[in-house]
Amino acid sequence: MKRLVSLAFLAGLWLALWALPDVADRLTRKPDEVWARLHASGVMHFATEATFHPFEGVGSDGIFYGLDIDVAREIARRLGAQAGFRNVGIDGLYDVLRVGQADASISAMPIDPGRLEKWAYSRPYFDDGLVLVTSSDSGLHDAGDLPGHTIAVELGSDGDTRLRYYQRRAAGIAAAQLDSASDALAAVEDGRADAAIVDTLAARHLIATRFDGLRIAARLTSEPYVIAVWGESVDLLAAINGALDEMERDGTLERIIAEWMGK
Amino acid sequence: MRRPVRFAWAFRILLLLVCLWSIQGPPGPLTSIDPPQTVRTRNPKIGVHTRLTDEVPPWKIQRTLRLVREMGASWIVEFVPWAYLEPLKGDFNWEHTDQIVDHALSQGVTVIARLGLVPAWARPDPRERETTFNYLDAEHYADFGDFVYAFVAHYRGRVRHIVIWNEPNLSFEWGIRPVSAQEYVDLLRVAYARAKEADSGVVVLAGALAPTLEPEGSPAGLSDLLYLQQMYDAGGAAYFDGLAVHTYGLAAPTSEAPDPSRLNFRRVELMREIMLQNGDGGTPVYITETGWNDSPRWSNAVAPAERIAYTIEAYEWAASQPWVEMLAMWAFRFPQPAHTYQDGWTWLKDDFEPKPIYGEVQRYATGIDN
Repeated sequence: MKRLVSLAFLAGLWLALWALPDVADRLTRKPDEVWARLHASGVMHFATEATFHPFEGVGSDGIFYGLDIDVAREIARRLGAQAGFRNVGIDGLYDVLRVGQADASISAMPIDPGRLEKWAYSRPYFDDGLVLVTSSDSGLHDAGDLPGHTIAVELGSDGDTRLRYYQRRAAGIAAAQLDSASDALAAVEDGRADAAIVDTLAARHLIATRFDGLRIAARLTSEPYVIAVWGESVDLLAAINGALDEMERDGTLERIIAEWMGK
Repeated sequence: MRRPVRFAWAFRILLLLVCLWSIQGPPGPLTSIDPPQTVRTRNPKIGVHTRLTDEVPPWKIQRTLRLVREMGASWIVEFVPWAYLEPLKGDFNWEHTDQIVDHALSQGVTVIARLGLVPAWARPDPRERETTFNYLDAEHYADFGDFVYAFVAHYRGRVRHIVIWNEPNLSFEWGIRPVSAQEYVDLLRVAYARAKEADSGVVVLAGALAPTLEPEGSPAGLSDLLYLQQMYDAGGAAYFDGLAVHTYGLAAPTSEAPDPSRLNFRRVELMREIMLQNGDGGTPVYITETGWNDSPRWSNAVAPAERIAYTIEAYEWAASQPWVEMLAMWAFRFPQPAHTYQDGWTWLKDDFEPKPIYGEVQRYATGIDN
C-alpha cells in the first residue's frame, strides 16, 4: 500500500512538473493587446508588400488584390472583422508588427527561424516548393525515378539548383536548361524532356493556362508561406490558425488558391 | 568491504562525466590550414565578396575559401570590422581575421580587407549623444589611423590591399550625418600615412562609393560622381593607390551604355572619366562590389539566366580593361539566409549547396563542368 502511495505521489509530481510551464505561461502571459484592439475596432490590419503577383498587388485605385489579400479578407471575415491593408517594403513587414502599425503581415512570407524569438508564424497556407511536372501518362513519380531521363529547368533557377543536386548524387540524369519555366514545361509537352522541375506557383499557373496535358507528379521541396504576427499576439495567432484550419476543411483555401493560379 | 563502495562511487562519477560530456554535443570538424594551392583560372581578375566576418566555425571559413579557389576566383573582398578587432583601445584580437587570411592564402586567394565599423570607445558617450557604429568624428581619426597601422603591420606580407571605409557618400555609412568628401579625405590622409608607415608596399584603396543619383543637399547622400570629383577637389588623389568602386547592374544588362542619370554596371566608366579629367589615369580601379540579383521578390532583379550571362560578361569586360585590376561580385555566401530578396545575391546557399551561377562561372573560369 505504502509503495502504491509513493508511486501515485511520484506520478502526480511528474504530471505537475509536466504541466508547470503551461500553467506558468498562462499565469504570467500579458493580455494580447492586438487581439483586444482588433475586437474593439472591428478591423484587422494587414501589412503586405504589394508587388508580387499573384500573391499581392495594388491597383491604381488603391484597391489591394491577390491570393494573399483574399486569404486575409477571409480570415478577417471569420474573425468578425474587416480586413484593412497597408503597403510596406519587404524589409518593414516585421517592424510594422513590432510597433503596432499592423496586426499581421501576409506577403508570401517564408519562415525565418531567426525571427522566432520575437515574432510568431501561423500554420502554412500555401507551399511554393519545387515540384516535378510530367505528362499525365508518365511513369515518373519521384526524384528517385530521374536517372535515365532528361529533365527540363529554367537556367539558374531554384529548379536548376535542385537538378544539379540530383545530378551530383545519381548518374544518368540529363539536363535541358532553358530560358524560362514556361519553356521547361513546353519541352515536356513536346517530348524534348521527360519532366520539368519548377516551383509550385509556376507549375499550377502554367498547367492551368497552357499545358493541360501535364500534371504535378511529385513535390520535391517545401517552401511554406505563412502569416507573421508579433510574438505576444498569442490569441490572435490562435484565431488565425483556427480560421485557416476551417478554410482548409471547407475548401475555401483551395478555392482561393485555384482562383489565382489554377487548379 | 570498502573496495566495492569506492568502485561504486568511481562508477557514478564516471557516469556523471559521460552525461556531462554527452550534453555538450559532438565537437565540430577539426581544421588545419591546407597545403598551398594555386587558383587555376582563365581570368585572374575574377573576385567575389565574401561574408566571413559573420562566420564562426573555422571549417566553414575553410570550405568557403576552397570553393572560391575551385571556382577560379583569385580575389576576395572581406569586411574587417575595427570594432571587433580592437574592442578596447590598443587591445587587439586578430584570431578570427587570422583564420580568414590564413585559409585564403593557403588557397592562393588574394585578400582585399575593407576596414570600418567604429568601436564604442571611439564614439561619443551614448549618454550624451546617440551615434551609430559608422560614426567617427575628426578627433578620433588618429585612433582609426592607429588601427590601420596595427592592421597593416600585423598582416604585412599577407594582406596587401585595404579599403578605407565603405560608401562614405551615403549618410547611413557616414554615421547618419550629412556626407562630406572633405571630411572623408581628411580621414583618408590619416589612414594613408599610417598604412604606409606600417608597410610602404600596402595598396590603399579609397572610395568604395555607393552608386547613387542623390543630388547635392540630399539627406540620404550624394551622387558617387559628384562625390568623387569633390574628393579630388579636396586633394584626395595623394592619399590612395587605387580607387575601389561599387557598380551594380540592377535590372540592366552588362552592356548598357553608361549614363550619369542611370545606375548600371558601366557607371564605373563614368568614374574612370572623372579620374582621367583629374589627371589620375595611372591609378587603377578595383571593382570591390558589383553583381545582379535574381530574386523574383525584387523589382531591380533579373531572371536567373540573365544573371549568369551578365555576370560572365562583366568578368570578360573586366579582363579587357587594363585599368581594372579586379572585379568582385556581391555576395558569395551568407552564413544564414536572409529569407528576403537579399538571398538573390548569393552564389552558395548557407548549407554550401552551389547555385547554378557558381557552376556556370566555374565552367567559364576553369573549363571544369561540375
